[in-house]
Order: sequence, then structure tokens, then C-alpha cells
Amino acid sequence: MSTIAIVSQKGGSGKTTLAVNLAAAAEAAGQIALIIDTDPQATASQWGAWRADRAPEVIDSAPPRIEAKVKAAKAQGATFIVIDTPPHADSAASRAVEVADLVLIPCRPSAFDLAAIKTTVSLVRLFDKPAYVVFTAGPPHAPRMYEEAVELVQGFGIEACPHILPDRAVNRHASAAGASVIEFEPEGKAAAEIRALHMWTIAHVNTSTTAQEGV
Amino acid sequence: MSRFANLADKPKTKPKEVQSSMSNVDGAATSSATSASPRSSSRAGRKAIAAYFSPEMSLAMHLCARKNGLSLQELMAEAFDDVLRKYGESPVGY
Repeated sequence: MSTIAIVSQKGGSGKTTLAVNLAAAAEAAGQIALIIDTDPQATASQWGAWRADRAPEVIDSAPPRIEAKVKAAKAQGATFIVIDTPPHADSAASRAVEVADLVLIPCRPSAFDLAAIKTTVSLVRLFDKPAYVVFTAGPPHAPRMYEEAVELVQGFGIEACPHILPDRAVNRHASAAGASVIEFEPEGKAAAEIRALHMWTIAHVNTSTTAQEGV
Repeated sequence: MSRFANLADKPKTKPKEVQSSMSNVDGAATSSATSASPRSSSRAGRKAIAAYFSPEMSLAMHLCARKNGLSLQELMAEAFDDVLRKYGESPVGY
């Protein structure tokens, strides 16, 4: 059972894209996934409505009810819960981080976006949760740039996830069709990237919840 | 089909008939019922005080409230009373 919070104080960092595709990857891997949408803009819920509530299911939640919903969803069989949060919403973000096993911080590999993750880093520190920056919406082939971005992230005292989700047209096409990238283009690169990220996420939730070390 | 629909805050499909029957129940007050969204009774007769701060300040206030089991409103009320005392005014307390 894993609860993943997707948190970033910056808008347009790919939170919802990451949330829905990660949950879809979990569902494709045989888990029972649920997306809890705490964003008043309800982007993830819109995606859920477009796909006529085909799994992974999306439910909304006001921040104070997140914890109770996670518990109830676990009791109803959910094995992989992704909490999507709005930007600049400290209440939703802190409640999501509080219940999460792992926090993923999507971030574009640009100086402005990287500088904005400081606030998010202080939030995950306060709750002492394992957290990783996931680079999103950047160019697919730019190893030097990602090396620099990783160094910058480490300078904030946080690690970057080794799997990136670069900008790919299939992300937009899939979202518009109410699909995940795995459903839209199962053999595509984006599908392979999100599968790899999902596997990595599962491995990290297991190690961080059983070992509780690395402080 | 939908395993977790019972956990949603809002129903996923908007039941339009329910809304129309609700306004019929109001009877005489139909004109006002259609214009205004329902307001929480805890806000009746009260005024909003809003201000813009840095994300750090917002985060710190939300977390402080959460840690002490208070709402942001209760925390702000406490802060306002403190500052009133600091400047030699009487605290208001609510």
C-alpha cells in the first residue's frame, strides 16, 4: 500500500499529468489505484470525467478530509493512492504530505522553477517525509542540463528522481482524450518512462517505510 | 463500477432535478435563492480581512495552526488580539 503526494508550489509543473499517469501505471501493473484531487480547479477530476470514471478513479477532497479519505480508500481496497495538490495551497499540500509515504515534487528543469521548490522542500522537511524532485516537461535529450539541475536540487538538500518525464506530444494528446500515456501509446517512450517511474516509486516506498533510516 | 465514488465530496454527475426541486421548496424566496450562493452561517454578520504575504509566511501560518490544532482563523484572531494589546488597544477576542 503506497500513498504518494504530488506537491509543488509552482503552477504548470506537471502535477496533474504526473498524478494521473502514475496512477494509471499502477493500475496497469495490477494495483488498485485512486487519485485524490485536492485542486479546486479539479483538473484531475475533469480527466476522470472525460474517461467516464474508468480506473484509475478520481475523487475530490477538501484538505481537512484527505487523511480520512486515504484511510477509507485503503479499507475499500486501494493499494496505490496518488494525491494531486494545487499550487500555492499550503493547507492541501501540508495535509497531503502528512499522510504520504513518499512525496514527489514535479519541476521543470529551469532556474525559475528550481528556485521555487525551496518552499516545498521546507514543507517535506517539517514532516520528515522522503521526497524527490521529478523533472518534467524538459527536453528529452539534454544530459548536461539535467546534471546541472540535479546539482542545483541537491544544493537545496533534496535528491532528484533518476527517472525524468520529458516533454512529449503524447502527454497532451492522451490528456485531451481522457487517457493515460500507457493507454494512448502503450509502446511509446512516455509509457516506458512512466512505467519506470512507477517501479522506482514502489521500490522507494517499500524501502523508506520498512527501513526508516537515511536521516 | 466506481469503487470509491462514496468517498467523493461532490457527486460526480450534477443532479439537475434536485436543484430545481430545492428552489421550489423555498417558495416565496425563490428570487433571492437563485442569485446568491449559500453562505455559511458562521460567517453571518462577520467581515473578511484579507492580505497578501510570501509563500513562506502562508506556509508557516498554516503549519503553526495545524500543529496547535487551531484553524487559521483562530490563529489570526489570536495574533490580532496580541497586536492590539501591543499597541495599547483592547483585544476584541472574536
